[in-house]
Amino acid sequence: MSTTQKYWFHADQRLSAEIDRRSITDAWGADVPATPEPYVPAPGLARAVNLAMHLGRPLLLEGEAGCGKTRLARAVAYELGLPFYAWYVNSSSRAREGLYSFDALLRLHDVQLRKQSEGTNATLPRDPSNPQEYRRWEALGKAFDVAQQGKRAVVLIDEIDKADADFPNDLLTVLDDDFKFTVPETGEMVSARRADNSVVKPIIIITSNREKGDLPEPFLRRCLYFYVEFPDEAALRQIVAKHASDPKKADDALVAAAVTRFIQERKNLKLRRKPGTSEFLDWLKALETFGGAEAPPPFPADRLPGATAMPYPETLFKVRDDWRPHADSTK
Amino acid sequence: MSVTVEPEFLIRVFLKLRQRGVQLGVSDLLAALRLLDGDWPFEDLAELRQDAQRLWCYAWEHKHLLEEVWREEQPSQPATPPPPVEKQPATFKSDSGLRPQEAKATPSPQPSETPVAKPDETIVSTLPVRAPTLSGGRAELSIRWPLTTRAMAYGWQSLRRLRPDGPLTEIDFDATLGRIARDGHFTAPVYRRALRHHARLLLLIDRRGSMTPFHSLTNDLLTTARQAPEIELVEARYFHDVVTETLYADPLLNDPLTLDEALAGCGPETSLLVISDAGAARGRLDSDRILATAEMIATVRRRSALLAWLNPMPPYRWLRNSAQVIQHLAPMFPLDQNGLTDAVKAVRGHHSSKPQAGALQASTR
Repeated sequence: MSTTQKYWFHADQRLSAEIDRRSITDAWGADVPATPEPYVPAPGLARAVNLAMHLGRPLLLEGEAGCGKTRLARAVAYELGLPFYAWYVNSSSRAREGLYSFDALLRLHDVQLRKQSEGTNATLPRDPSNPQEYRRWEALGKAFDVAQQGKRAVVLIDEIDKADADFPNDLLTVLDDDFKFTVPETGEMVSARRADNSVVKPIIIITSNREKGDLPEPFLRRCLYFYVEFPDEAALRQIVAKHASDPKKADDALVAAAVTRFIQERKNLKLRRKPGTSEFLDWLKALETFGGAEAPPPFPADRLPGATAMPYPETLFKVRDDWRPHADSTK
Repeated sequence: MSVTVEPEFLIRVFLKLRQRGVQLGVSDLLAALRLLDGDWPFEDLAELRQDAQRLWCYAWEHKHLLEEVWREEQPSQPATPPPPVEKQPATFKSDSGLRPQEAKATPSPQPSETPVAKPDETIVSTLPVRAPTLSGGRAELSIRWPLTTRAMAYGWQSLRRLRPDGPLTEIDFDATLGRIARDGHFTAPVYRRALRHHARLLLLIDRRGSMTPFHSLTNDLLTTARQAPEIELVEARYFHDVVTETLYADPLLNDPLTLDEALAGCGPETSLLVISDAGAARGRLDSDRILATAEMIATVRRRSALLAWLNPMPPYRWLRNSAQVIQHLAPMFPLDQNGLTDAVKAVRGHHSSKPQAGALQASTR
């Protein structure tokens, strides 16, 4: 129980200052995020993260694009001073790729090299008779490795729905209660269970897009489920405040007008693709700092409200039909 | 922690959730009971309910279910009555008589007793023809279809047909080693082609009339099929009641196509699904409908034998009407989770568990 009680995520960057990063001298120290991740969690999300840590279950985040699913994992790792490993899933991903990779081709190459260099006294960079030289740990493998040293790691499995149907099921066998897998190529057995029989489970955060929803039920059952809503007006302002490089310089009137206008624009049901938080921040940056000689920045806040065209629509709208109403009338 | 919760309470909620179709295992119950150990802080029952939601509800639809069950099982306490606006939509559900006994047993205010607000009545009386409005409260919009969109997406997955005709990107180690053994030295690795999805699906969807209540369901089916990465190409053709000479390219039945045009993209490996009640909704035995359907099935089978029928009406309603006959012309499955799985199995090109017409078996080989 002590390992689970040690960590508590508050979504407060200031807490991470208490962690003396220089004191982390272990090999995994370099994997601890060094730069802060400004993050404003949705209501209940911080608790869900803590619940996931408490129960040792993966946390599955669903929600529309751009509401901050991916960034959470890094924010957790930063605040708690834990190593962070990301695994970005793509359409051809296999479950094994997140555990380890084995470079059989390089080994084959080295065997040939040794044959040719027989008799000469050239030294080879690797010994092909040792398969472990060609095995590299990937995100989950690294996390298990860190677990062996008694430390939890944060693993992000991003956009799991992109992969093939079998992918979550294959992953399930690894993420089951035992948290272990074997490497057939080297005969190694990797487990989060330590020599003293305690299991240090990595904190696993999985993201998925809402629309598809084709994850298998047994997989879903093993995960904690959280649906991330898009931030509301107050939360957006908080996000802006957290992301501001210099809070003193921020133009409050402009930020307030921009947030209101953005939320209003997102309610437009005709939008084919709704802009996300990061696009909003880009837009806000453009409003604050971008402009030519005839219209120096910042953009006047009083021109934002209303039904007029949005300035800099190219930062927000990425589908032609969404973009056009704003683009045409600026001319 | 300011409240103590009996483990029995969580067990009761757990069992009820399972009864209502949420697939949960013993380990999920044990995980929830661990929250009561004393290590996990929660202020009140509502906070614990949220935690249980994260743990047990893995689909959007389950959220409401847990809230409902939680309310039923919750030990009586002088809780502040929830705002009536929130409650109004619940009236719709509880009216259907789902909870006959609990309604009386729990002292918490039951929504079914709350009368419709007065202002609404006056509005209704001034307008002679008007459907009851939900605008006063937050409408209960959770989907209660016989199958969820998640189940649909999962159903489509087994339609996959993989063929190695992608780019030459995968290293074939066996072949590489074979070549080394043959040549005596390593020259270059042997590559093989990546697998790609090649399933094609044509949906023939009955619209309007008796199918009107299922429009949204068939739309969901089409959308999930289009999103499924396993299916290379999804086409939809629409008709009303019976496929005659014309089908339509659009769901509003405005853009007519001849049968040949509609089936132009349909080859021997295209999977075909007809979604229609086959007369089961109205319950008539219509010989014209049966004949026309038989003709359509024969025409379609000439192009592809991978044909199945999805009927949104439950099987007991197929008796003594056109559907009873039509189910012998084409394998017919109810449009629920198992039915969709079976139908997909039938059109995937493998044999289904039920024996099919001879023509089908011959050409699937």
